[in-house]
Amino acid sequence: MRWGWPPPGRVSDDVTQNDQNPPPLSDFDRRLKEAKAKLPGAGREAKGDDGRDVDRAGMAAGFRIAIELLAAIVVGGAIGWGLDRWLGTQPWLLILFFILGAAAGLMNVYRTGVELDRAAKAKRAAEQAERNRGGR
Amino acid sequence: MASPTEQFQIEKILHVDIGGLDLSFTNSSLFMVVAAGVASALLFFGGSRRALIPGRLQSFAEMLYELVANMIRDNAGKEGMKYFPFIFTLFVFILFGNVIGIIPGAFTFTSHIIVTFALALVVFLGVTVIGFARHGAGYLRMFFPHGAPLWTAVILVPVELISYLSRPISLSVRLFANMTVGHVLLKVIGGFVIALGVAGIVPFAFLIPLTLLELFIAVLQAYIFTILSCVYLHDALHLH
Repeated sequence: MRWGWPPPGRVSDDVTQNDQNPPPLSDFDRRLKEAKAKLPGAGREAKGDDGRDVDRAGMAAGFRIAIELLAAIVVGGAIGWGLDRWLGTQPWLLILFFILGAAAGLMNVYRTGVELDRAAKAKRAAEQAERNRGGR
Repeated sequence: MASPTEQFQIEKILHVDIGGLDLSFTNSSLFMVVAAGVASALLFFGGSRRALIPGRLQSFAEMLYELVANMIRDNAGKEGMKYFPFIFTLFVFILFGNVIGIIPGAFTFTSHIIVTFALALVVFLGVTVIGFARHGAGYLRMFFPHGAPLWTAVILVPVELISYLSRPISLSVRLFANMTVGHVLLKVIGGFVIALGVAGIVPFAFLIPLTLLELFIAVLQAYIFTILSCVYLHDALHLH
């Protein structure tokens, strides 16, 4: 069997013999399952690793949401400030657009939340399907 | 001790001045070329063998392809695959820029907001053009939720407009801030290692998991940038 390493040409004798007469591909699923079962920590992977990665992904999600909120407020404030300077209506448009920006930010946060939720559900469903296919 | 922000200094390597416009080739440009070159080389050699059972390079190329293809299919729908070349280029460019930047002494061009903002602006303008090309003036419905009472337009249209305009800002600030903060942190703790002498082993031990975390963030941020581009593309193709 050639699995990338060792590369062809440097393989040991017994592997080369195997290579002459490769096992059928139809057998592959079963062998893969066996190999996976032998790995240390097999069966644990479905439970979201060891929690650390979940923390990091959660941190990234939190950061993502914070930026969404801030960006809309900054854009709203900038539009208000610019219009104020142009029309000479300080500070009313700044106040108005700051509030609109905050509303837009909250809407962004809501949409990001929905999006993250959808992604998490899709991931869980995919894992479930994988387990159902792999389990016996 | 060197300042932790010294690593973000732009240095001119080749001075180019065209009509008063400073178009010098800088260390930032150099690492953009390196990122594009390394990515192209890996993908070229990964795609040249076309073995039934892939080697490491081919596996890498195939994994990258499948990752991006799935990302587009899941987030932008089947029609989004038309834009696969652009999305793939975007992802690979940012990914290699981020990851190569972790190598000590390398320059991280994604730690400059002007670079990430330019990338985000290309996505933003592209998506807007696609939206108007597909839906004509109907794309303006993006700014007014379907079925809301008409009088709410006074509030909803500005809010939606601001939300739409905030996209390139949030997209670029997220990538830039993550890369900058990570690199400053690495440099500060790296400075402690030198300053503390023998006791520097303590921050040094801390530096190893931190570098791994930065590697994780580098990949994750490239992924998030691309996935959000796909989400925006979806909005342009299907109007929410």
